[in-house]
Amino acid sequence: MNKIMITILTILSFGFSQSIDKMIISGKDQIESAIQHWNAQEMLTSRAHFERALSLEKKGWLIHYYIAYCNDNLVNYWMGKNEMDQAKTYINDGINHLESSIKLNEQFGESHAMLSSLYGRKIAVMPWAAMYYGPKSGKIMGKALEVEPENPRIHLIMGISAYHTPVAFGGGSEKAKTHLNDAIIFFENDTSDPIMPTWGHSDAYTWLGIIEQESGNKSQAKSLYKKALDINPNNTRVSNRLLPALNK
Amino acid sequence: MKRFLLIVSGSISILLGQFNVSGHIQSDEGESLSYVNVFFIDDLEGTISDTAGDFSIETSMGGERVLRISHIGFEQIDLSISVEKGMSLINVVLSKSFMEMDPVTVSAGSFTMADEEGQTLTTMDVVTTAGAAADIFRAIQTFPGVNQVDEGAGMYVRGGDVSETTVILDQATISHPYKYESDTGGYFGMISPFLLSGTYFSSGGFSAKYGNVLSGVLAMESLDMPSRSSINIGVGLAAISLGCAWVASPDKLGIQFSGNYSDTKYLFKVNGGEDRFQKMPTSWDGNVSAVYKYSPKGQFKLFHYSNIDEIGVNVESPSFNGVMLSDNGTDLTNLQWRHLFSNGLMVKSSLSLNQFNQGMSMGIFSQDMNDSIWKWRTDLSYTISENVKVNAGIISDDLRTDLVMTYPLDENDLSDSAPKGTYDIDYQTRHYGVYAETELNLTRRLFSIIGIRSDILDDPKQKEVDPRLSLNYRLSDTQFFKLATGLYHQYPKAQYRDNYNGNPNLKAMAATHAIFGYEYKAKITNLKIELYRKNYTNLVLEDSVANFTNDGRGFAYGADIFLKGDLPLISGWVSYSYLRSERKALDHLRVVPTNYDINHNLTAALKMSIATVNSLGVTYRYTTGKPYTPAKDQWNSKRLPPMQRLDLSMSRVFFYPNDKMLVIYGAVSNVLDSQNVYGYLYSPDYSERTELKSTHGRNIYFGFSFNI
Repeated sequence: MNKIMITILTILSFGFSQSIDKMIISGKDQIESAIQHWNAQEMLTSRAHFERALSLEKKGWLIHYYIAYCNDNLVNYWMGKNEMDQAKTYINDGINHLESSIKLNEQFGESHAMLSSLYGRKIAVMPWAAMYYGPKSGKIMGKALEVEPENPRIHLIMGISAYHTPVAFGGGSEKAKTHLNDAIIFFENDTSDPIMPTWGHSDAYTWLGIIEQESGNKSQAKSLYKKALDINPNNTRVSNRLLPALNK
Repeated sequence: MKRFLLIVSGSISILLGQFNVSGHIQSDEGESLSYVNVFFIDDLEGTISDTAGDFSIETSMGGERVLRISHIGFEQIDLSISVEKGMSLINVVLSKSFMEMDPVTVSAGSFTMADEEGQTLTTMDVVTTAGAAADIFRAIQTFPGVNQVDEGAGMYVRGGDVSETTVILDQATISHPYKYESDTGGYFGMISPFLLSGTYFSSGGFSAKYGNVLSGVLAMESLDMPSRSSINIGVGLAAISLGCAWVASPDKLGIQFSGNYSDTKYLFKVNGGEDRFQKMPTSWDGNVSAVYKYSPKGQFKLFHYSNIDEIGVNVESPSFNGVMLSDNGTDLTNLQWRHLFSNGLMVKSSLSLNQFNQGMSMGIFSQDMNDSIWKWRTDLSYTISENVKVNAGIISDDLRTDLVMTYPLDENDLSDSAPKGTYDIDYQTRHYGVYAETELNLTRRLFSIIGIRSDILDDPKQKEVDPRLSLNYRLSDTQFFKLATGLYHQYPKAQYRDNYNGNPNLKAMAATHAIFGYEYKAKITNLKIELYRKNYTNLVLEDSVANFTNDGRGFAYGADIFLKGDLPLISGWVSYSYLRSERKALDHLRVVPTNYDINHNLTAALKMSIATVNSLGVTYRYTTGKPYTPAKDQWNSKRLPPMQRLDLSMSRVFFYPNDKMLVIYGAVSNVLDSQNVYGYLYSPDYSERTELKSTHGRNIYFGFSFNI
């Protein structure tokens, strides 16, 4: 009888693990599609999907990360609509999820990097708190690099953050380019595990293209945007907005 | 077997057909909630609510099931429902979660300009407040409940004396926190805002963490690990400064130091008024701090600060023409250890030494004082659950005062022939404190801090027990009621407890606080109204036989109103205080208005950002006159004329490649050239008097700061 029970439990546990992996992969597809359509409802749906996965109490560190990733995109969306209260809510919730993720797995650098990015977002919604959150964000990013120095998304986030930070506060275009180029190098050896984060390769070229475009290097920007589309033909930000604007 | 039956039953349901569960979700305030996550926890089937708050789930499994409903900012609920063939309709009401309820903000008595909870002022707040001269104390004077009795930085909090506000840095007490110290505080605060990562100020009803203080608390945290190496050079009309930050090992070891030399010679040359000084105000200060992180959860921080200042003011009064000379020196050294244990226990412990020496003379008055405090303090903080947090701590102070003083028996007669007395005090004692408090979410809307502390004095032996209570009731998302009450004690100064010139049996002075507040907190507006009452007992009173007794008493009551607005390009606040403060204390032998009983105090501060790198600040203050004594024994029976002042400040930031930044700033103080009267100097028989007026008329200041 015991043997039968153990066999049943093993089968059940295997099934559970399979199902959480499937949920993650399906959630990843949903959020990428939502980003592609830039649709808040789709983003919220994918967030809800990950929230459901959380109740399985498996791979919580990764699920918390994906919820925060959904939040990160929603924050972009709300800020674009000047809905700062909504943005603040999702920033704070994202921070909570990332702290939970780090508690469960301190060695997952991407949670540290995204946490740093969300603290950076706090500055955008409350600029007077820059003196408090600036150093905090920098410190957390340092931890991310310490844990996973060759993770491309950490370098990508650093590049985006440097782009949005004035030179005087440790940012600027040149620094952003360095991080983005590092990210591109590290994307060559990015993970092939389907449940792990794989986003960002196309974005690294997109951001480099934006910097080149702003510096007046139109041809270089165009070539970078094309590379971004080669990697992700569904990168609508490039195909629908950046490239047409460049060609005007 | 049961599980097997359940599986079988589920399968039968699938075969039998589809079920539908629909419903509507709203908040407890009646608002329909969109994008709420609704799902069955057994198979995770679910959906999100639409923009009208409605949802509908098609499911293939019937029977008793649990539906989970979760939404950001609301408490998650699990509903047991019976899923039956056809359509099941449910209505769900979600309640706001505690996480959205401004946790740890039982802050009756605390007014904030910063967005971050627990933080009262940011460095940026301080430097952009016109008239604050980049000084924390002066910036806090723009808060309600803090009276400005002269042009100095002294903090008179809700009818309390300047000595009734304690100043703490990284757990260390700074016993003399002012530069150019005077009996009304000092001209500036000692610690620059650029040395701080956070500041908390409370004007009453504060928690059991703080003891040996009657009226207010200013608790500051010094800078943590620098994020990058940098050098800062500052040059102003009256000061030059240099600061360096060095990241010796990223996230492991960081060292920072800065120094500042101030000489007001050129300031007075440009603005006039040189003739007021025999010795122009000069000062220098330096500090060094090192932060060592031995693990992500623990660190040591060593902080040292030194300051020296001197001033010689020409004094012309009916009884004395001469110079008031003063020189002060302060040293503070603090070693702090911080560790977050894996079980969630946070420990902060520090050992500090604060030394102060002062030489002062004016006519026959002279004083030579040395004060020192060795202090050890440990604070523990432990979160038991989402709704319960416990704080506790222990404090040990070794206090020593050496004071040699010659003083006039008649305070209005400083002439060489005037009768005089002397003090020669060498006083030493130990003080111990212990406290415990719990932060409790009593109900979904009611948050409390209940605490108790005990303070023990070694010589003479005394023990005080102070209970404290704070309540915060959330009326709605934007409205709060706050209540705070408690007992507060403070030991009299050493000179009052000396064996020969004082009374060694003096007990601790006591105050009870009762505060009731209302707050409206919305996106761009914050309104805070507080009513308070403080009753003082055991105040020190002069006595012809015992030198001093505890027979003094008094009260203070009033109302503080704070209105703050934040728009993208313009922000600011208006604060108004009404105060009545009366005491029978020291040489006032009956209950009379205190020297700092300023009944109406209005401040308006406005800040404008232009193109993000330019800023303009305007501050206007109006206060009714404070009391003065026009004749012998008619203590504080008349009032000075009202005072007003308008200040402007502006700055521009330039960014350069390689992280360089230049800030150019300028300020016009006392734009209206108001000649405010802050007091009178009388002849011994009160037949003649001289006005004590504003040190500065309209004056300008400018400078730049370059960050490499």
